[in-house]
Amino acid sequence: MKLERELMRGAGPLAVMQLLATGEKYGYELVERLARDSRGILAMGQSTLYPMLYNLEAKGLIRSRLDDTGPRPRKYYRLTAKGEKQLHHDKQQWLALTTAMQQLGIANVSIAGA
Amino acid sequence: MSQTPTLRRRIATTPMRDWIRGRLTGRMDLRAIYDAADLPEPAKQLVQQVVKRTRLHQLEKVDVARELIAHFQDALESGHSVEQAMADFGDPHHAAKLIRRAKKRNRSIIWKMWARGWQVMGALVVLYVLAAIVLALDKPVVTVDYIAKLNAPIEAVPQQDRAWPDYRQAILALRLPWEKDYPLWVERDPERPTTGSRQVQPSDPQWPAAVAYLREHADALAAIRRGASKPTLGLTVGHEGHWSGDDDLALFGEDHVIPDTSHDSYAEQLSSNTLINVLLPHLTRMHAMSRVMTCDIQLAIGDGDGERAVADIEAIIGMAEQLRPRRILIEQLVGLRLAARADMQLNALLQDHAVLLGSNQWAQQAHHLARLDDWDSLSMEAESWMFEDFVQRIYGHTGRLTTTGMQVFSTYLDQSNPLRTSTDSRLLNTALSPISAAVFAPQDDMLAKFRELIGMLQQNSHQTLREVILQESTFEVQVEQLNRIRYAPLCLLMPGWGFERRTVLQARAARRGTMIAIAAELYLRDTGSYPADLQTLVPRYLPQAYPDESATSGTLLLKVTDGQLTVYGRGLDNDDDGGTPPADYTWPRLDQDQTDGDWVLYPAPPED
Repeated sequence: MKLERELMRGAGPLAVMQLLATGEKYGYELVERLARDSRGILAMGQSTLYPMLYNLEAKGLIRSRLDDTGPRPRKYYRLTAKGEKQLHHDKQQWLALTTAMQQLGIANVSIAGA
Repeated sequence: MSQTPTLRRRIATTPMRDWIRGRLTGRMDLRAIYDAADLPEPAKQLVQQVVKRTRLHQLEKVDVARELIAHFQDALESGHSVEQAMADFGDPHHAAKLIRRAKKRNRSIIWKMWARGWQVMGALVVLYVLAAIVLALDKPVVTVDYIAKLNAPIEAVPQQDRAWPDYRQAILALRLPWEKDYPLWVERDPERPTTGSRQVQPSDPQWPAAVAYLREHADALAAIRRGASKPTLGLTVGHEGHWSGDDDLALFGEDHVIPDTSHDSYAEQLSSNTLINVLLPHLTRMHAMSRVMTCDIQLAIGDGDGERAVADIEAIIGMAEQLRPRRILIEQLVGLRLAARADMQLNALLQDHAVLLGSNQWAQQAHHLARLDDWDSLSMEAESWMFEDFVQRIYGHTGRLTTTGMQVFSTYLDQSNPLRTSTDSRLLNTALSPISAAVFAPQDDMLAKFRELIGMLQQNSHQTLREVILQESTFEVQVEQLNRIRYAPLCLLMPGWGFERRTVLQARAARRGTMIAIAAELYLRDTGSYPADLQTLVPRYLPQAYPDESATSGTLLLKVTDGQLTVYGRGLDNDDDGGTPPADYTWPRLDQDQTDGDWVLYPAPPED
């Protein structure tokens, strides 16, 4: 199952930032991790990932660097301090939302690590 | 297939910052990046398509291209087919659009300000050009024909009440339009022709020829006297071509050529047909006729013909009275000048040849002067019309100065005026028109300011001559303080005003001086001596004891020394100096800097 666009618009950046919280990653790696770790639910059209990364970069939440040392030049993204704060804030929001959903009987799963 | 880029291409694809660092990097060479990309052709084309559609800066495109190439290479390496990788990527159009939006958001604040600055500048340029177009298309329209309005009452006058036909006959007979080498004029200073001419005097060697000329043209002089006895001048005014036949000949002479204005532009027509530009050639002719009459007065005195002398003086007064009700200020001023000429002639006649006239004749002359005593103001009606006419020719429907209006306005400026220089070019004028429209007051504001100033001028109408001279005029202060650009038309037209009250009051005082002297002469004839004071003459010889307008209070004064009468005011110093004028006295001017001395009205100096 894939998320509707509107839900994805809110969840996508948070998911990307969460993936980057564990270390820097390049574009395709993020695509794969999103699809795999969310069991396909957060798999997004790849054409929207890069604009999302550029937007997060424009907001100062992530920063990129070009690595020429590998077999091909790759652009790696990492979370900034501002991005870490934003990630923490967004996670709190999602937790509150999920709790509310649970109380309404819409969701019945525990959110770990939030 | 990878190709080594040429030097020219490397130069063209090296960013400026690398140039500054002395490096020929060719970093912006997208073609080299695509050539070097190890991708199947369809994927490469998709990357090219996305990158091209982003329409980003070249360095941004390079960045996106590198990232997308790496993306597809990773996808292929992880075992996806080209088709699968392209399908997973999604819609390239949508991708390009989102990438462009996000990358632009990523640009520096300086770049964003720069771009916004250019956008604002562009919008302003568009607005400016639109304003210039609107102002160029917004042509002023003449809705009120002020010249027709001016001429309407003149045209309503019955033919028999019009003096002009008699004057025309006299002018043509005397050949007055051909004044050069005229037998009645002599050069004031033959060495300096610019000093102009004066009427020939009996003491001049040219006098015998002048006498012969006057006798030969007795009919023409009779026509002037006949015309002057009519109640109105009866001549309409207009621009070139308004008059024809004998009217044109009498007003302009034989060589007059009417300029062809059929090819004039709309702006030129608007400019040349204003009420301000109306021609008044009759004023020169009337002035000349009055000079002819003064020559004839001299001849009549020589002939001992007092009756003819006073008939000539009455003719000059008649001409003055015909100009008095005319609406244009300059016509009234010339009328005032003719009245002053008649006054001076009477003043001189009384001084040297009083015996030529009987008491009744002198009393009659005094009555003629008394008839002019209420001439204490000048009508500014036509001057207001001139301004309103000018305004309707420079402003458009938007109430702003138009391109055509600016051309019209500039024709009233000196050739050296920079505003005129800049508006001579139609293109430049059009280009500058929004600025002109912005800095010039709008039509309503211009008219309101004009009416405010006219109101101030009318507030001065109760001031005495002394007050006019000594008190600072609020009108003149306001005109001085006008914003010279915003109210340029007002600054152009109004400074000449404000003097009129002083002129009219000085002329009235001079006439009163002559009236008092005539009354004293009549008293002398009746009693054998001059009166002791002015009050003695009232009411039998004089309607009232005229106030001394040069002083704060009191009436004009009389003094008799060695049988010579002097009529005078105390002057601005309020001090009776026994009828002694200041050293540099210009009759009958009352000047602020002439602090010591009296204001002598009789005897007047001979007319130059």
